[in-house]
Amino acid sequence: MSDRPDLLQGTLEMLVLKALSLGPMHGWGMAQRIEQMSRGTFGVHQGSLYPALQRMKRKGWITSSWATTENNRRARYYALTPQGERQLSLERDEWERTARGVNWVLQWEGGGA
Amino acid sequence: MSFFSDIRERLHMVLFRAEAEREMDEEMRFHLSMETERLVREGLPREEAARRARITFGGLEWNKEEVRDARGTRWLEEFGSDVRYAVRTLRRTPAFTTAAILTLALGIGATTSIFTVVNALFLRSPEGVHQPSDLVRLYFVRNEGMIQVPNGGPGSYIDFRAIRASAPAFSGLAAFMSDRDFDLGRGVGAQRIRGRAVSQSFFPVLGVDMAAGRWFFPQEDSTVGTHPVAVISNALWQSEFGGDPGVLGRALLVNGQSLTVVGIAAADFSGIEIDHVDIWVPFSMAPALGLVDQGSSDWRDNPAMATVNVLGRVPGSTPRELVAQQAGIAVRHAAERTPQLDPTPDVLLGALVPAGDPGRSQAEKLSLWLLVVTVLVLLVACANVASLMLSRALARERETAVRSSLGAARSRLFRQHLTESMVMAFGGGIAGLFVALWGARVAAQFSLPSGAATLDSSVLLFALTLTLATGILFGIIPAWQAGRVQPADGLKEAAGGARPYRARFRGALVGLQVAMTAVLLVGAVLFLRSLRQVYAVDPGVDAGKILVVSVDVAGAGFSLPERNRFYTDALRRVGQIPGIEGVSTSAFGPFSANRYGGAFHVRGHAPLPINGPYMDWVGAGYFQTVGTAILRGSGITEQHVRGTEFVAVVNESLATALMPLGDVLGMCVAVGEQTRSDGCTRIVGIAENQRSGYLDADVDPALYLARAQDPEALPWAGTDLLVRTSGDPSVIAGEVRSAVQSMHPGMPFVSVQPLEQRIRDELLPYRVGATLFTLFAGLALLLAAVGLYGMLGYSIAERRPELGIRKSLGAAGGDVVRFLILRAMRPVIFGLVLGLVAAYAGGRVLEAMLYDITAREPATFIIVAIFLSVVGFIAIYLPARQAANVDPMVTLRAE
Repeated sequence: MSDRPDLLQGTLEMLVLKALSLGPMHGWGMAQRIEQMSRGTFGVHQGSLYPALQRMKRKGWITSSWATTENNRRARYYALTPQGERQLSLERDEWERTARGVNWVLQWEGGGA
Repeated sequence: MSFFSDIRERLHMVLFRAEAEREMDEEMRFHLSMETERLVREGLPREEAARRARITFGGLEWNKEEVRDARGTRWLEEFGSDVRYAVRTLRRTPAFTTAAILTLALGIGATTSIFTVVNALFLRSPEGVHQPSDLVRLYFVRNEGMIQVPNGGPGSYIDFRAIRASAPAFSGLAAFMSDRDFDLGRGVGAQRIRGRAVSQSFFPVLGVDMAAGRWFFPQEDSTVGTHPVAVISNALWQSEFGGDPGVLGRALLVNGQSLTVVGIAAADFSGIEIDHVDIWVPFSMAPALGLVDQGSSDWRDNPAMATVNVLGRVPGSTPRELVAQQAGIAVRHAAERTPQLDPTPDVLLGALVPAGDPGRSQAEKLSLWLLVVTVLVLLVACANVASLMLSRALARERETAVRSSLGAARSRLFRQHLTESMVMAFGGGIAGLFVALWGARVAAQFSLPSGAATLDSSVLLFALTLTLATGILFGIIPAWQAGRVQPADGLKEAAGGARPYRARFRGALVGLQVAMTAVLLVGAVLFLRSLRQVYAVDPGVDAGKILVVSVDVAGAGFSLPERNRFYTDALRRVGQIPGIEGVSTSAFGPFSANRYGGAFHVRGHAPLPINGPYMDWVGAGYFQTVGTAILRGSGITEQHVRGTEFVAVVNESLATALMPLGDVLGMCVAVGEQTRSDGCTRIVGIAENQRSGYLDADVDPALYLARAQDPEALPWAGTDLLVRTSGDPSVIAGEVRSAVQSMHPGMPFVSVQPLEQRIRDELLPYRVGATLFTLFAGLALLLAAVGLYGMLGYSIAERRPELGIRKSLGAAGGDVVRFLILRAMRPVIFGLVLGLVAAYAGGRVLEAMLYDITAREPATFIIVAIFLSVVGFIAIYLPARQAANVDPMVTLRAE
């Protein structure tokens, strides 16, 4: 875990939103999914997922309900609300703009003087 | 919406905290077991897998705390535990808690009860009215001409018509006359109800619903006298007709007129003022019902009939200035064609509630003053509780210090102490509501309508605000001090070191209490002295023993001979009732609002340059009956009947005016018709002055004529029966009423009122002021005395070792007492001076409410200074003596 960089502040929420846009899932599933989707680039400090989920619930982006897993165990499932979907697309745009900007800075070769 | 989801989520978390905790636990355990299983599937031994899962998860407890923080309910949870802690603590010291809560209940209750009355009288919107905030009342300002109302008053129907025609800013305009007594029925069952003549637009503009039937049609408000219809209140419908729907279309006998009931107002509407109205009639019926003079011309074209109140509906978006401007232009335009009135009238807008009246009434001023007074009482109460809390803080210093050294944050300690104050404040607030309800009922006894003592949402809001404010006010300083306690200081053996900052603070509190009490006492003394002046007034009649019996004989259609027969019979019948000392008649009677000034001159002389004289036609034995002394000559007697020489009695004022013309007794004067012929009325007596208004200083000249000599003198003015009773007149009033009421099957409602009723309104502000000021000042005095007693008790407890040492070193008990008293009297003297200076500076504003005394007479201040010093001294002396009598060895051993 220590060999992989920690997540940027606030990025976790975006990743959660993205994961949930694929369908409702429980916390552990989400952690797996994010790691999988990022191809292991960064691991979620798994415990920190839960405070983030609690915050997002208060913001109205996600809802939760208890259901049984395929292995017949009780788990809390989270799902995206319409508001959460809007938030995801907002954050995606924001992220892309930021990433583009950062890329331009990094690719700067020095034009003019 | 995210705001609501946030609130909902937080609320859920608070309400279902235990459940949330359990679910969080379960969720995290589920996570760990899933991760462990995944690692086991990857080939790790189970134990290693579990360890790895925990590491990947991060600190379990730490993450739980993070989740709890993320719920955003931590402060609420702490608040909950603070409240529980506060309740536990308060229950451990029941004496302290009871004292504090009672003190607060009295303070909050007194203030809220006055507010309840102010709210009911001036602030509360009437029920059953649609969107009352969009309604405005119009006040007409006239500075010249016959009718002068510089502060704004009712207008004429001409004004109403003009505004209705040319002020489009109003979405609706309605007019009404002030409510009046109406007679319902005749004979034994006759009764009195409140009624009001209104424009056809009245209910539609107010947006009042009908319980049954209909409101007036527009044509029913058109031609005068041709539409005898009425709408009755739900209350009258229930009480008189048992809610029978058949009442619609039935005729009611109102003021002798038969009116058809066309509708019943919705139950929630009982008029727009605090007095309930039972019946509404269209303006067109006003003359027939005797509400306006039955002149030959239409009263609605008479600019002098300024008895029309106007209210309009203005959509919320319309600027009020525009509305006022349009109305002003309309009435000025109308005034150009009506030269009797001020050519440039103006219109002021006010709210529907009486507080919107641009000219404040005496009652409103008095109420606001009382509110200020009760706030002072509340402040004294707060100071007291703060003082109590400081004493207790001493006892709890150890506890606070322990908590602080165990790591309780300073802000948390502050919050905890403040919570404790709030819990007490709420206890006081709830108890205060009961005090308020009781207090408002008592206040309502002062001739306020019964609706005055109701708790509505604004009263509750007021009480809540007061509670919060007091909780903060008396709690903030003790709480701040608790937050300041240094663990080391607090834990040291309290070696009796007085904490000077605290002593100073308590001294200041006591000083302030004394100051506020002094202000209230000055007010109370002023009002009491003023009331004594009021009672010392000799009105020239025995107001407290007289009943006034009025019958509208003209309205009942009695012919002149019938009237005279009626009066003769009535005098005889009433005179036979046991407990009656005398009966006579008078056209107007003492303190009457109606007076009559007729033509008058002394034979052989030009009319006198005097006001009046006002004339009254009285029966035999009038002066003896009402208790007015005959100073010279005789009164009106049985011998003064038709056919004998006309006689008159003059009052002292008229006698003084006549004196220069010769001997008043036996003087020959011309009265009324006689001024145009050569008739003569002989003055046979001079009577003591009767005040025209109870408190009017100057008494106008008055002339009393014998009714029996000229019964037709004033055909329009009925004659009142004046009944002198041996005891309390109100006891016998019912008997008198039924005796007269049953004399004739067509008898209109007989009104029987104590003569005092006529001066009641005049005396009311003085009585209310004196009673409530005395009550509240007494309350403040009691609280301040308790505060003083408490402060000394505290400082004695603090100084006990020092006192013990002093005594064991040979100080006599008396020295110790003197030492303690000197110290404790300092804040008392300081507060007394401060309070008296404040009262001296502010007393002027009270002067308008005082009778015949000024606010700055030294006597008032001397009385208060002596009284307060004595009470203060006693409150100090008692605990000081006790302290001095304690055996020094006992106190020293305790160390």
